[in-house]
Parts: sequence; structure tokens; C-alpha cells
Amino acid sequence: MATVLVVDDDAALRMLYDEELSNEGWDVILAASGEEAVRSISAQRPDVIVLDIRMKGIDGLETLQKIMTGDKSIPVILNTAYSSYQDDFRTWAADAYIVKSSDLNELKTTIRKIFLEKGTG
Amino acid sequence: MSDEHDRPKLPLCWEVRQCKSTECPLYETPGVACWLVDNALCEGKGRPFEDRFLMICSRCPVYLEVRKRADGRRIADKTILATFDRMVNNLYSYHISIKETNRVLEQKVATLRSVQDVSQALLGPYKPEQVLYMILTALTAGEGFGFNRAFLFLVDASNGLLAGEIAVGPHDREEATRIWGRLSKEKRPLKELMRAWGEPGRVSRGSEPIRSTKFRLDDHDNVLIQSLMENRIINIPDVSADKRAWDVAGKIETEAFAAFPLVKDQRRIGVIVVDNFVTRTPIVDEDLDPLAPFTSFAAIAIDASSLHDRLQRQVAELDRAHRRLRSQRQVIARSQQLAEMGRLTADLAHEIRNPMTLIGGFARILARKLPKGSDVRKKAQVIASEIARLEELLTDALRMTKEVKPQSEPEDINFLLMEALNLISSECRKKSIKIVKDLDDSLPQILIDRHKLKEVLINLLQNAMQSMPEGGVITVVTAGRDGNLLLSISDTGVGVQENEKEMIFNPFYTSRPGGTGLGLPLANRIVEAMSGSISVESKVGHGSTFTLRLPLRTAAQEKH
Repeated sequence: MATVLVVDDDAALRMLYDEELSNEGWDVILAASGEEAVRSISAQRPDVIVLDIRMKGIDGLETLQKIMTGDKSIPVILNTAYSSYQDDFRTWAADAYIVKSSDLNELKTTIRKIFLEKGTG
Repeated sequence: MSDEHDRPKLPLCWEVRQCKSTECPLYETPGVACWLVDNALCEGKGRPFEDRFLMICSRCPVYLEVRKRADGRRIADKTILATFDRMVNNLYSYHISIKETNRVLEQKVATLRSVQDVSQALLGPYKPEQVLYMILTALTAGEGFGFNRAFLFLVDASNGLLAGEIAVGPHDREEATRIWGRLSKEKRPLKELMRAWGEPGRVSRGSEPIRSTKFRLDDHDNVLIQSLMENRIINIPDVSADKRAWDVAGKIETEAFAAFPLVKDQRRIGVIVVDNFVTRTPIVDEDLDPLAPFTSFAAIAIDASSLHDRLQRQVAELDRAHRRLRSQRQVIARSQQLAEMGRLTADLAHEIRNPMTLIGGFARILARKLPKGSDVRKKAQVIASEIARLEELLTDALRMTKEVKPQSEPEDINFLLMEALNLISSECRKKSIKIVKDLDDSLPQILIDRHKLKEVLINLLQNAMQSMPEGGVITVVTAGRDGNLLLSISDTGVGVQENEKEMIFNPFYTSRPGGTGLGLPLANRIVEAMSGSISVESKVGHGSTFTLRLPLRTAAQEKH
């Protein structure tokens, strides 16, 4: 089963993503911070990472940098309430940029597309 | 003693002079040596003894008769008298000479004083044209140097010319009579006359012709150029006899004139020409002597006034630059404020988005899990859809607060329009909407921000579609007119009420349920940032035409 790592410092949002993405048949790993995300990646090696940007501690962009210096092959989807970070070149290393919405279809479609390209189940 | 009684009586001065001045102490007073009486009322009154005696009395028949009678027989008497006569004659010559010297000195002092007065009158914060006028007035005023006319030529170094600038003085004898008559009645002091610049009738009609008079600075056969280059006054008493003067004389129509240069610190400023063409009084050296110190002052004054003028202009320029800087600072401050607002808005959006994602997300989950058709499921669905609408509003509002800075590139507007039409074509087919195109192929490429303008076109096309829920026709037309590109999108839909035509461009105004009311205002802002405009024509029940006007700035024009 494909694994999705969701990184968000908001507990309620983690709960929402857990429910919605599990419903799609994916294994969901949750991380509440950038540091936790890095530890999870080395321990469990997810198939895709959904990464919030504005977080306490190290933010999503710094986390992305750390991920890139580690395993570049894991696709990263930036998932943020801010549309303005699209102009920030540090986000261009990510595979996709999604603005948070109550309709998670765009996120789900993007994950499915990535899995299709990778040949992940 | 007996001689005295025998000789006829001595003449008495009032008899000789036929004077009837009864108040005079000598009147009918015999035996008085009148030349020794200081308060006599004849020509000598008030004059010092030596002056009166030498100039008048020593020649007078009364004295001469007395002197004759004093002529003794003895050689000693004759010698003394002869010595005395010689002394008187010598004294007379010296006296004449001293008087003449005094007269000349006094004249020179008076002239220098006048030059000083006039020169001092030139010192002040005057405009250059005012100083020029004052110089020429001093030259032509009766209380000044008294020439009939004066002309000023200034060096135009960049064009290699000596060019006529200003002339003062009467145009002809008739005008001279009129002006001089008025001036003598007014009796205004010279300084006041000099400062009367700007008063009507002060500058001769001759000023305009002088402006078209120019001499080449390399024409060394011209008397004015010679005067300028050699820095000396040149007097031409008879133009016909001096061919250096023909060109000048022909231009100012005179038969005699004098030219004197204006030079300051070896910088050649110009030449002044004076003449007496009305009175025809010859100009002599005496007239020209005081001009040398005056022209030095004049050169200084011209230089100072142009310096003053330049300084004033520089001050004005600095002032303008300062004001521009101030307004730039205000613009920067405002931009910083807007940037701060933008940051706050983005932060606020983040704060709002997360809760909305949660509320809407869980509402969807609930809507999925609750029994189909149940009331609670419907309510959950309402929550989800309302949240979706709020999210759309937030996105549009954020776009409105962003700085709309168009990135211009040359684009083919018809091509861009076709791209926009392609995006809506499948939806139009579904809604039975026909698209009619009338595009001008000859339109040049124009400088626009293609992404932003495409957004505008899509917005207008979507509005057109939404106004025709039962189907209809969308007509798109492009044309060039009066330096503008006109693009119109017409529909056969519900139309817009007359009173709504202005309001549809206001943010959040919408007549369409579910609409955010931000599409048209945003489109308007984008187009205005491109120096264009959107207008609407509409008839309720028949349809609307939105016309986009954009300036036809081609890439070539922009380079200029």
C-alpha cells in the first residue's frame, strides 16, 4: 500500500487529512513538525510527502531543503494556505504546490497523478 | 595836489556801466576804488577779489583811468607800475588757466559721480533683461550720457555670433520730440528712469529689428567685432569714410556712431553702440571718456544678473527636485504601507484558510457519512458549499490587494482572444451558445501582459455565458481606431439595468447568485493598469456589449 506522509502543525487538519486520505486507500503517516517529518522519512520512507509551509520550529521550506539533501526521489507536495510562496524559488524544488482548500480533490488528484507516474500502487 | 584839481573827474563805475542799481554802495558815491569794494552790486558781486579784479575790473575803463593817473614820471614809479601790470597780466593768464582746469575737473567729477550713480543703480537683484534696459537708459537719458540711441549686442558663443538684443531710443525725429518732451515734463531722476523697466513706451520700437541683426564673430573687418576683440572704444564720426562701419550703419541706419565693448575678466560679453541720429550732434572724445568706467560696471552688472538668474533657476530646480523627492518619499511610504497591508492580508488569509479548510473538510466528510436524503446530510452539504464560496471570495479578494503590475510583451490580440475562446468553447457547446467572430487581421502586435489580459477576456466571456442560461450568441469583434485597439464581447442575454451599469464595476456588487462580485472590478483594474478602459452598452432583455479599449502601443513606438 502506498504511504503518504502528512506534515502539518495543526492537529485538527492532521485529523482531516488522515480521514480523507485513508479513505482513498493510502497509508497515512502524520508529523506535527519539520523535525518529526525528517525523522519519519528516515524511519519509514513514505511514497509521497504533503508538506505545510508555515509551521512552528523549522518551516516547510527548510524542511524541504533537508529532504532534498537526503532522499531526492521522494515527491513533495507543498500544501499551504499561502498562494504567495509560489513566487519563492525555494518552493520550485517541490513537485506540486497546492493552496489549502476544504475540497481536498485537488490534493487527492495530485497524489494519484504522482503515484501513476512513479508506478506506485 | 594841483594835478588832481586840474584833471577831469575820475569816471564813476555806475556812469561807465550805465548802472541804475540804487542799492549798490557805490551808487553816486564818488572817489571810491570800486574794485576794492566786495559788496558792490555789479558783475563782481559775490566773486572773490582776485577773480573779480583779474577778470573784470582790470579791464574796466574806471580802473584803467586810475592806473593811467598813477603812472608817475620817475623811472622807479614807471618800473613799479610796469612790474605790477606784468604781474596782473600773468595772474590773469594763470587765473584763466586755473579756471579752465577747475572747470574741466568739475566736469570730470560730475561725470564720474554720474557714472558712479548710474553704476550703483545697476547693482541689485535684477533680471538680465532689466539690467540691459537700465544700461541703455543710462546711455540715452538726458541726465545720463545723453546719446540719442543705444543698441546692445550680446555674444552668442555657441553660434559664433554677435547678436542684437535690445535697443533704446526714438525711432525717428517725431518720436524723439514726443518722448523727450514728455521726459522733460516728468523730470524724473535718472535712477528712477532706469528702474522704470516694464513701463509701456520705455523701449523703442526699434528693439524688434535689432533682434534680427547678427554679425559673425570671425568677421574681423566689422568694427563691432574689432571693438570687442581689441577691447577698445571705437568712434566712427563719418560712416561713409570707414568701410568697417558700413554693415553696422546699414543695419541701424545711422551716419555716425561709437562702439564700446563689454568685457569682464577677459570674458567678452557684448558690444554697445550709441549714436545721435536725431540731433546729429557729433560724438567727441569727451563724450566717450566717461564711458570706459561705465562699461566696466555694465559688464559686471550683466554678468552678475545672469549669474543671479542662473542661481534663481538652480534654486527653483532644487526646489522642484526637493518636492519630487518629498512626493517620492510619500509614494515609498505608501508602498511600504501597502506592502505591510499585503503582508497582514496574507497572514489573515492564512488564519482564515485553515479553519475554513477544517470546517468545510469535515462538513464534506459528514455529508458523505450521513444517510442519503437525510436532513442533517443536506445541512452538512450546505456548510461545505458555503465554505467553498467563502474560499473563492478569499482568493479573489487576495488577488485584488496584490499590486497589478503588468509585464508587457508584444502580443497578437486576436491570437490571445482565440485562446480564451477555446477555453470556453466546450462549455458553450453544452449551453447551446454560438460564437461569432469578426476579427481585424491587420491589427499590429501590441504591448500587453498576456496572462492578465487573458484573465480579463475569460472573465468577460464567462459573464457573457452566464447571462444566457437558455443559450444564445456571443459575438467578439476586434478593430483598431484612433490609435486604440477596441475589443468587444457581446451577448444576447438578460442585459444590465441602466442604474447597474456603473455599479457592476464596484467590488462585491453582483446580480448573479453565487457570484463573488470581484471579477469585473479586477478586470477593470487590470485594464486600467494597461492605460485602457472597459465600457458597457446594454439593453435589458436584449443583451450587453462590453468593450475593451487599449492603446495601440507597438514595440517600435515604446522604444522611442
